[in-house]
Amino acid sequence: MLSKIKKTLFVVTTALILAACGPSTASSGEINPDDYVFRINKTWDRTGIRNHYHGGSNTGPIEWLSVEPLVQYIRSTDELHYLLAEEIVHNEDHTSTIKIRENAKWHTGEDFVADDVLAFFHINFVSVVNYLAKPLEKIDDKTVKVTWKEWMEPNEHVKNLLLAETKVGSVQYSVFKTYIDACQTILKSQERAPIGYKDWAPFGYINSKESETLYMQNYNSFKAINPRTFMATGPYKVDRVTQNQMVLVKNKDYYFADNVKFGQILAYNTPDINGVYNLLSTDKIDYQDGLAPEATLNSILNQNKKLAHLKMFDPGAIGLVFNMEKDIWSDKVREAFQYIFDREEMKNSGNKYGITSHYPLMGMAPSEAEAWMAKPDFERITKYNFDQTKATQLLQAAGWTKVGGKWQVNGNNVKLSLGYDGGHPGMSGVAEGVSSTLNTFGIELVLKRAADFGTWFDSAKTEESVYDFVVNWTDLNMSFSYPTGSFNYVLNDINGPIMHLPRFTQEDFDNGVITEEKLVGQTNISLPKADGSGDTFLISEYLPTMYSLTEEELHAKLADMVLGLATKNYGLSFYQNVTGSFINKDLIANLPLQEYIEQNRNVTHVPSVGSDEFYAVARTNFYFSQGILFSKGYYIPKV
Amino acid sequence: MKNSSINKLKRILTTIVTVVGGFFYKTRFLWKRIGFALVTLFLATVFGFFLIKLMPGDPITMFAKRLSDQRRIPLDDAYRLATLLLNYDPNISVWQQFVNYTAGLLKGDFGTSMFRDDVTVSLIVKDFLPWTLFVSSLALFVSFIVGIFMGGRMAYKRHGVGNLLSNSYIVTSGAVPDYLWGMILIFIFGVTLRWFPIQGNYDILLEFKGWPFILNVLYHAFLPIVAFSIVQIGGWALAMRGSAIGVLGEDYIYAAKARGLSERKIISRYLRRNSLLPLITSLAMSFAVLFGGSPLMEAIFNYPGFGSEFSKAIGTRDYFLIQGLMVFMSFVMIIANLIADSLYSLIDPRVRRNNS
Repeated sequence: MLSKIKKTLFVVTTALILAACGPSTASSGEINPDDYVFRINKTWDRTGIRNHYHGGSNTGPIEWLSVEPLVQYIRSTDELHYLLAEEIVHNEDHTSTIKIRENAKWHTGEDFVADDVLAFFHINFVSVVNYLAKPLEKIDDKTVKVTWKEWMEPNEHVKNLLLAETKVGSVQYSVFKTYIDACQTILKSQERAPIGYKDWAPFGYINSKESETLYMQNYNSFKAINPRTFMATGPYKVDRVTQNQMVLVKNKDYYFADNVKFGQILAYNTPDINGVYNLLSTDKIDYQDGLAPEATLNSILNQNKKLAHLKMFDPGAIGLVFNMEKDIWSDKVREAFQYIFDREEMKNSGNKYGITSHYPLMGMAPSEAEAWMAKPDFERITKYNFDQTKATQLLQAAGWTKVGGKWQVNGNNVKLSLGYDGGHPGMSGVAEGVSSTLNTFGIELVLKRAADFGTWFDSAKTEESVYDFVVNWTDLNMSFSYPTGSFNYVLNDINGPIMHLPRFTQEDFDNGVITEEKLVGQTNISLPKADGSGDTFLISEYLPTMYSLTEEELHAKLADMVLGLATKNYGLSFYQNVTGSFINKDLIANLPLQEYIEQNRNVTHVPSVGSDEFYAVARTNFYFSQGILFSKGYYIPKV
Repeated sequence: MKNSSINKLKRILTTIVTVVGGFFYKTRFLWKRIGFALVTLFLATVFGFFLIKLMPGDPITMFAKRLSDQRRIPLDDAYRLATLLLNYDPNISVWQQFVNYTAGLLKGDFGTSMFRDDVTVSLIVKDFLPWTLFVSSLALFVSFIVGIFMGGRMAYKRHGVGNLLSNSYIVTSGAVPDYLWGMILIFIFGVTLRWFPIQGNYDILLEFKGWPFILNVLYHAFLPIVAFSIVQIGGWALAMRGSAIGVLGEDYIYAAKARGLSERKIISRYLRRNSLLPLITSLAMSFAVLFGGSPLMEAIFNYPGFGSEFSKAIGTRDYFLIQGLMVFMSFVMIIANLIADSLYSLIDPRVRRNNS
C-alpha cells in the first residue's frame, strides 16, 4: 500500500513539474516541413524577449534577420546594400534625401513610412546622425530629408555608413506615437544651438540636464512596451521561441522575398563554445562564425564532412599595449620591445591563421591602414624584425644591465606583470608566448589572467594598475571600417585608458593651455606631422574633424596620425587577426573559393584586401553581413 | 452575581493564558529555532548584498562592450546607450541601495535585473527552477534507489567480486567531478553515437502537449540525470552501507537468519528497511540543496536551469539578480533546515529536551 502511494506521489510530482516547465512563447504559425531550413546558433535572453529591438533584451538572431537598417554595410569591406531605403541622394545643399522602398512593410502588413524613420531617430537621441544633423523633415510618406550641420557635415562615404549603422526598421510610429511625440515636445522645448556649435546637440537643440532626465524617463517607458508581435520589417518573422530554440519563418510580404530561398531559420541558444562545437560536429547547425583552435577545427571538420571553413581578415590586430603610467617604459625600452619577439612565433601562439604584423601600434590594423592610406605613406611606416641584439643595445642605452642572465635596472631585477583577458583564446596563447620569450631573454614576467573582459579592463584602466602592459587588440575597428572607429578604440575607448595617456585637465583650460573647454578630459598627445616640417598636431583636435574630410585631406591626416603614432611605440602588433566561418557546403549552392574547398575543407587561403574573393567571402559571413545573406540571396540552397 | 461573573471571567482568562503559555512553553524549542532562522536570514541578506559589491568588473562597461559587439556600434555610443538601458544608478550610495533592497525584500520583492526591468528573481524562479528540480530530483531519486540497493548489498556481503566492483565504482565516480561525467557522456552518447540530444530541454518543433512532449522532455533529460546520478550513487551507497552494518548486529537479523529466511528476504525486509531511516533525513536535506541547481552541469548540457541563470547573472555582474537569487537560495536552505530540525524535535523527545 505504502509502495503504491509512493509511486503515485512520484508520478504526480513529475507530472506537476513537467506541467510547470511549459514553453516560454507559444507557437503562432505553422511550420512547413518542405521548406529549406537553415540552422544557426546565436544566443538570446532565456528569460524572454520583448517584442521590440529597443526593449532591452538580447534578441539573438532576430536582430540580424528581422530588424533592418535603411542601408546595410558589410563589416570589413564596407560594401553597401540598400534595404529599407531604395536610394539615398546626397545633395549639394548639405542635405540628403532618403527614398523609402515603396513596398517596404512592417511584419504586421502596415507600410513602412517616413514617420517611422523620424520616429527612430527621435527616440534614439544618442545616435551620431542626430548629433550631425538638423531636424529631419518628412517630404512625403516615402521620403525623408536630412539636413546636415554644414560646419560638421560628414563626407558622402561617412554619411552612407552612418545611416547604415542604425537599425531604423525598429520603431513603428503608429505603435509608439505617445513616446515619439513626447520626444518631439522635449526636443522643441530646448534651447536652439547657435551656428557653428560643435558640442552635443541632437538636431541642433542643446540638451539641458532637465530635458535629458525627461528623455530618459520617456525612453524607459518606451522600452517597457511589449507589442503583440515582434516589430520588424526584415526577411524573417519570429514564429516561436523557447529558452533553447527559436524558429523564424520567411516573411512572404518582404520586398526582396524572391531572393529569400530558405523557408525557415532554426536557431539554437548555446552560449558555451564547446556546446557550439558539438552542434557543428553532430550536424545540428549549418553555420558558425569564428575560428576554433586548430585541432578542434580539424576534428569538427572530420566529424562533419558537410562543413567547410572559410577565412577572412578581421579588422583588428593583436599584440602588446604598454601602460605609460609606469616609469619603466622609456622611449628606448619601448623601441627595444619592438625587436625582442619573433612575431611569427607569437602569431602562431595566438592564431595560426593570422597574418604576421611587424608594425608597432599605429591606430589602424595593417589591412585597414593599407586600404585607407595613400600607398607611399603606408610604405613609410616602420617595420620591426626579430633582432634581440638590437634590443639588447637599446636596453643598455636605456640604462639596463644584464647580470647572470637577468636584466636589471638600478641593480634590481626587472620584473614585469602582463595582464590579459583569459576568456579570449588568442590572447591567452599570446600571453604564454610572450612569457616564454621574455623569460628566455632574461626579463622576469608574471602573467595575470583575468576571468573576463570586464575584470581585465577594470584592472587595466585603474590608476596604478597592477599591469605593466597587456595583451590586447592594438588596433581594432568595432563598426564600419572608416578610420575614426579604430582611432577611437586606440586613443579613447579602450587602449587610451589602458595606456594611461595624459589628458587635458580643467586646470589646463583655466591656465589657457587649451582654449576649448570641450578638450578637458581628452588625450593630451602631440605628434609630429608626416610632412617632415617639424610641426606637431594635437590628436584630440584631429579626431573630431575626420568625418568631414575629402579624400585628399583624409590621406594627409591619416599619414599624420598613423606615422605619428607609430613613432611613439605605445605598443606592438603581433598579427592581424583572421577570423572565419564554418559553413555547410552541402547546403549552400553558391559558396566562393570552391576550388580551395575541394582541395581542403579547412581553407587556409585568406583573400587579399580589395580582391573579388575578399568581398565574396565577407558576404558569406553571417556576423559580417547579417540579413543580407538572405535578403540579397547570397545563400541559396543546393537543390 | 457580579463577583461570580468576574471570577468566571478570571478563570477563563487564566485558562486561556495557561493554555497559550503552555503551548508556547512546550513549543519553545520551535520558537527558538525560528528566531535563529530569522537572524540567519538577516545575516545571509547582509552578506549577500555586500559581498557582491566586492566583485571585480564594472557592469556598465561590460554591458556596453556587449552592446558594441552585438550592434556593431562604437563603444562610446554603446556606453551611452547602456546607461539608458540599465536599471541601475551607480551614483546611489551602497547604503541607500541596501535600504532599498531590504525594503523590497520585506514586500516580497527579491529584486529586478539591472539590465532588464521585466526580468525579476520571481520570474527566474518560476521559469527555471522547475527544470532544475525536474532533472535533479529525478537524479536524486535514481541515485538514492540505486545507492541503497548497492549499499545494502555491500554491507551484507563484505567480500567478493561484487563488493570490489562497487568499491571501485564509488572511488572512481567520486573522484571525477560531475561536470566531467557530463562531458564524457555527451562525447560518447551525444557526439559519437548520437543516441541522445546534446543540449536543451525539449525540441521546439514538437507540440507542447501530451505524451510525445513528455517523452521528448525525458529524452533530453536522460544524459543530465545519468551524469548527476553517477556521482551521487556512491554517496548514498556508502551512507547506506554504514547504516546497514550497524543494523546487521541487531538481534532480529540473527533471528531471521536462524529462521532460515532467504538472503534476499533478509536484505529487503529487515536490513534495508531498518537502515533506511537515518538516510531519509539526509534525503530531505539533499532535496533542499537541489534548489541551487548545478551551474556547471546545466551549462554543459545547456539545460535552462536555475543554476545556469545564476551563473549568467554572475558573469554579467547583474548585482540585483545575484543578490536576489542568493537570498532566495538562503531562504530555501534555512527554511528546509528549520523544517527538518523542527520535525526531528517533534518526532524525537530527546532532541526536544536537549534543545530546551
